[in-house]
Amino acid sequence: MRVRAVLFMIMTASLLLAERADSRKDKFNDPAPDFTLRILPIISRVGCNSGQCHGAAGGQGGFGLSLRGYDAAADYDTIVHERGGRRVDVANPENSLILRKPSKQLAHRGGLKLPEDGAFFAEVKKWIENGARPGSRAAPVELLASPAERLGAAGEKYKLSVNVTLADGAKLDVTDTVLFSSNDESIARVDKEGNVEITGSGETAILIKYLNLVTAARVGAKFGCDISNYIFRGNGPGGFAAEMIHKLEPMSLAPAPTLDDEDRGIFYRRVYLDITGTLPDVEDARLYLKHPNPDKYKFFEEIVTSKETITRWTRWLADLLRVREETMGVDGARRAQEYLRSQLEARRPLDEIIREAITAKGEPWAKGPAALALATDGPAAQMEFVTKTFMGARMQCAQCHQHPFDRWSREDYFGLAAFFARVRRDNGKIILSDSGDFTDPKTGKPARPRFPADPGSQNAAYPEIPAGVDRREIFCDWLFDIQDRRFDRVIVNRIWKELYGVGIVDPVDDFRAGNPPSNPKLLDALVQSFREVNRDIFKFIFSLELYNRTAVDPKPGAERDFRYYSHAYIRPLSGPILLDAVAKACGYSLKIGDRGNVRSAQEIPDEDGGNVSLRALGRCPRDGSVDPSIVAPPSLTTALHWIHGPFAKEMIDAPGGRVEKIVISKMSADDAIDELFLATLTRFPTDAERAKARGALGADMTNESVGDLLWALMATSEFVTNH
Amino acid sequence: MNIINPNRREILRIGALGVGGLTLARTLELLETAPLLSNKKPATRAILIWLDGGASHIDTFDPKPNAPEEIRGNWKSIPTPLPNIQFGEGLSRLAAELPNFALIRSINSDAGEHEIARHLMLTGYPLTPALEYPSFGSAASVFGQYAAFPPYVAISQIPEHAKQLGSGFLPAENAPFLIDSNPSRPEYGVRDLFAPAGLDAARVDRRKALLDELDTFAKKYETNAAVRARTAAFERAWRLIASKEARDAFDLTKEDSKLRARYGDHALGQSCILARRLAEAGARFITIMDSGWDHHGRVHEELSRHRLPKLDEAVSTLFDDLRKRGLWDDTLIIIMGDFGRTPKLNNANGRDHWPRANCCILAGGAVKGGTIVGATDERAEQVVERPVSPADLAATIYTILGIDPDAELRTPDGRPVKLVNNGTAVKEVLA
Repeated sequence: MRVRAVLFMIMTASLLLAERADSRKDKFNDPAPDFTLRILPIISRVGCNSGQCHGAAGGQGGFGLSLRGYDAAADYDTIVHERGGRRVDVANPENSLILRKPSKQLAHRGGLKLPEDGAFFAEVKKWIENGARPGSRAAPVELLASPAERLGAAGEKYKLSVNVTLADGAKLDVTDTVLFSSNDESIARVDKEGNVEITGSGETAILIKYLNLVTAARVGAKFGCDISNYIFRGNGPGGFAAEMIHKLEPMSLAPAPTLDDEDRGIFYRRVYLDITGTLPDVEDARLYLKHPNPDKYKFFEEIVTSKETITRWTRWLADLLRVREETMGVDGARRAQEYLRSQLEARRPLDEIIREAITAKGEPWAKGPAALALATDGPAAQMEFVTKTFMGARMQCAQCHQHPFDRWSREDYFGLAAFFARVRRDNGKIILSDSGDFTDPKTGKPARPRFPADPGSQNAAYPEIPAGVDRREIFCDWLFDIQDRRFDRVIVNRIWKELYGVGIVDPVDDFRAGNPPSNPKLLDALVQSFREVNRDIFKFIFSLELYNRTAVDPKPGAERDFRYYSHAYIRPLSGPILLDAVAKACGYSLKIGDRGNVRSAQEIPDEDGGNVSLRALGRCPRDGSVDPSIVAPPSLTTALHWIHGPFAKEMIDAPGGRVEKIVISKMSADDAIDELFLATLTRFPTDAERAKARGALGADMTNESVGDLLWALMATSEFVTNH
Repeated sequence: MNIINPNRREILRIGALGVGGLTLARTLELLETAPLLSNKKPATRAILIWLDGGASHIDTFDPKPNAPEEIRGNWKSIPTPLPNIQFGEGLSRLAAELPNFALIRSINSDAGEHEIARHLMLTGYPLTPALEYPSFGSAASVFGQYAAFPPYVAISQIPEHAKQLGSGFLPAENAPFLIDSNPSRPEYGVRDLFAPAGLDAARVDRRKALLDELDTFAKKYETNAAVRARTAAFERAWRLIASKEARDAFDLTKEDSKLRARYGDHALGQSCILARRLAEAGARFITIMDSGWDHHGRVHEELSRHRLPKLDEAVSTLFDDLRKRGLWDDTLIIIMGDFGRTPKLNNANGRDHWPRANCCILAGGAVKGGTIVGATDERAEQVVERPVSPADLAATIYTILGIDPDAELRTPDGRPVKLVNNGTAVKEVLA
């Protein structure tokens, strides 16, 4: 059937050539539209190959195209040759289904896409009249939007224009066939033609798609702060202040004041919770708050190297590396956790720890890193896990089609998965095979290990891997050292999010042109510093020095800044940190796990170890379904747990706990109130609060009245957030 | 959802509590245009009974009495009030109810694995790693205001299967309130619904008052997303706690013991009576996960001894009870499972997964009783008449609930996603 169609096409094409011989001059001036550069983008622009229509995996009504036109050769074949050539009728262009259906001359469930009197209809028709030839121009390699960046004011309107550069250097204006979309319509809207309207303060990207190319035009609007009285020199608050602050002036953001001596309690609690994942001891807090001249530097140094800090960041790594009993077994998960802890204690560089996790082999129950290889199973799942977590690349989409928002192709997907193709499980042991491949189901061929091309180039590489060498090692060489410092950027950004609540790139697992960093200079400086301290996480955190000395309250006009760190953000504490904080405030000794031998929610070698409080508070599901950087929002179940769960009775009433000790000690009501405020909110009460607390305690302090006050303080928003 | 950095869409979403994914204006617009059914009011609530593992279609609602024994086994068929329509033995009470419900015999898909099938059947969307879709209950809870009672409740003792009952890309507030305790057990209870021993209600009230006084932080930063999410969760909890009626809805000891016995002394029976209590109290979508339908071996023994008598007694009593209490007219009852099962018996006298044919029951006042939709061939292998896809079924469910299947939800990154893609409601079942 196909041969017949082609023959027919050649015949009609020659007829057409003969017929139009005299108009050759015109044709020379106005060449037939190119299938790849013109027709396919038109098809994309009007939406025929969207995911809801013919671009769906199974097509629509027996007509399936590549999603948004990433595969021009296959689409050409489908359009011109399938269905016995009925879609395109070169002899009788008006009869072509590809014209009659979308113009609704024939019934079309997808609606009117190509009105008969429109320019696109005419162009497609012209392409058919000219023989419906495949694309013949050089391949498109890069999209350029103009203006590539614009910082204006809300209400401003302008138009984007887009050029594509071809492999032979030619440039074409493709504005009328690209697809525009805004990442955040609360900042800027864009219509189909590329008309942008700025709608609010902040920065976002207009995503532009053309065939398999994606680019982003940045657009933003200043905030409304009065900045005439500020000097943006960043000579104030310690590490990276200059980089943080340089972004504020162009955005018209006034920085919140730095915390002064009066606010030392805010600083103390914030830093303590962020770095150590625990609340400070009451006596330590009291000393610090009352000290005439506390040494912040020394305090910071002490807590950065404390045991609690190791525990808190071990948990962070265990979340990232998905340590859990379901996949690793009870012993394996425990080994993995112990291993991560020992590595952090030894101050090993993060890239070495993570390389060892990615390339693990051996007996999981006996050796820590081997268990880490059990987090995911199979080349595809392993590759997706590693690239998402440590490259910030969401590859899943590319398994079936060109990634709709990013530059990854199917070749990239299978090429990267191929690095993990030879990992085997043998009686629970992780071994490497020296043969076996990952097969691309579309081609039926084994995928070769391949490094994706850099943005804007076509330099994808197939490394030579000698026999006996673990392919995963070669992948790690590329990930850690070669690939645009991508690992460093991703991991530094993840650490930053733990400390500031929002990543410089956010979501932290989505690094791509359409989701640029809010402050590239800051990210670059952090990466530089991270490498200078040899990727030692604690030295790195220490280099952020007094990192967070900004007040929570924004300056007028900066209220809607959630990206530029003009003020400190209020953020929810994660489930494990919260459970440990409640236990410490109550003076209660947690016993978690079958043997009750885990004493801190942050030491559980599993997502929850069966603990009902963690399930109610929300914990990181270590199965990859939610990125570990995301704190589960409180639900009805969470709130009921606060009101009626163990926090309400069992932990508050614990024998030998804080409430009992306070009552037995016969301390004064004011002392008790001080202690309860220090134990929960790490500060002394205001006069108004003291009065209310006195009223609650009554004349005679009882376990009940003290317990009620402790409960109320723990249930406040101030307790359950860091700020 | 990024809790620290809500974009404006999310603010609108949070601003109108319980209106996840949609702006308030759009929701109102949808509610205005809601009545899609010409002659009857749409159902205002749904009870979905999920037969987890996949019930054998050929042994239950699509028997083939004339098929060879390798297919039929020793299983008998029984008549129904409808001519030429038979059910499998053991379903006599449901057979008698057939004039009151619609039966679709032609659901078909290509999802033959449990997790993939659960996702497809319970969301109407194929499972993709790129996006998690909301379950029917979560999506439906977007369309309505939050009252004292949780709008969406799931009763499931298999938490790992409950994942497909979740809110997917919608905010957590659209997730179900999960009851993971078995209501037929003496120790049944909803965790943290009642105060623990030694903490009386008056003390809880005092604590609430004290918290209100001391939580000045919540008032000062009430526009902050993290603070607001916490405040909203507490408000819901206080409202639930404040209403004795609402809390009692979860308490089966408040129920007439004779009626409880009629529903059956087993998880499904007691889940059904619990669902009816929750429906009365104001829940708008209740999902029951009934486990134990994955019969790869000895399918007929398992069905006759365990599953069918329980299903028959629980569901027929539920229908009866709903009618007596005047709930029938505005309740939609859905009964379905992962997929059908291989018509040819395997070596273990069991049946394996068979997604090419599956049944679904739809009941309630908004459904035209006695309707049979579609048919399979004489071996119950292929759908030969009126194929219905999982997306068609999803469109049918939303339509019966008065929700436009073409309504759009938005993912956190702003992508519009239709409630149902590529599905058309099965109009025949509409009353």
